[in-house]
Amino acid sequence: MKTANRLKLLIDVFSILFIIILVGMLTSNYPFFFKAYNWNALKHTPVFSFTLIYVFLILKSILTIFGILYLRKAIKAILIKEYFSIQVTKNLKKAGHIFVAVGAGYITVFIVGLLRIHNVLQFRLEFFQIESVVTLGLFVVIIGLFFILISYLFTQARSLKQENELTI
Amino acid sequence: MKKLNILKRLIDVFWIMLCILSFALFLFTIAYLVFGDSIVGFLIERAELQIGNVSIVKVITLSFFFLISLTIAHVLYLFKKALEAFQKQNPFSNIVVANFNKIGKLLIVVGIVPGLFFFVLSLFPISDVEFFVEFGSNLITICMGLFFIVLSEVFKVAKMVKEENELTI
Repeated sequence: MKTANRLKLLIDVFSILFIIILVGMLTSNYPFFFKAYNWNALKHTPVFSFTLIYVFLILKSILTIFGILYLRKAIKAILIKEYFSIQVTKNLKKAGHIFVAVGAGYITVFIVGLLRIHNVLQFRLEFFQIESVVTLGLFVVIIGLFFILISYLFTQARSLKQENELTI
Repeated sequence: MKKLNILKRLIDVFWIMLCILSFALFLFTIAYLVFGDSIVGFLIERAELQIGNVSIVKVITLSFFFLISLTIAHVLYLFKKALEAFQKQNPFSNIVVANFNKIGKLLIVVGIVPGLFFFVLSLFPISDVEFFVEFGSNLITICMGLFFIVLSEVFKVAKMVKEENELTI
């Protein structure tokens, strides 16, 4: 399957990118996340919010790498035409749960963090910041739920296939 | 399945939001043609584009955003239809296979075309457009497109297994 091969290649690229990002986060003395968002006000951020967001970002990256690796395992099984194997359903389910957790955590942690910054520093909290955080978080949750759903449907297909083989 | 209902509701919300956005973009484009620069300044800033004073470039860019948002709204519509088939306990059907395949192809287009569009636009000397491509998000879109095409192929196999099963019974 040509498409599955291409997908696996892209997933490999993504896992490498995420590992590089994680290493960058762990080794930089000033989190580049804050530079990327150009939130200079965060230089004087209360320790709680800063730690909350920073620790979550590291956790999120680690979990995302695991999610991508589970997805990679599922695609590997699809490549060898074991479409409805336990390996595929199990790994898709795990990836789905991870993405749901990451998406929901992203929304919660960022909103709590941003609101705290807003209260303590009178930091101007723009609607678009919350909107983009919620949209991105929900998007990741949707991907996670879809993987869980696909895993459930593949389990159904597996039992159909087993029934079919038994009848033959 | 509870998760399927949650997913369907989330997709419904996203779809409605995108339809509203597409309609707003359409209105903005029309408003720009009628009222001129001041009305679309905000939108152009939000899109992080630095566009010069060439009106035709702005109209093309706005129309392009409108087309992209329409395409994504269509992708969500196809996805909604596939989820409806899942809700009707008919997951391995022609409609799901066809919709997943279409979604995959459209997502690949959405992942590639904006980058190309801004690249081509930046080549023209009349435009002042900065070449701006979000590499990560484009790659994710292409990845999702390929995933949907693979899913469509796997669902086709599942559909055949189901049909064989029904024939044997």
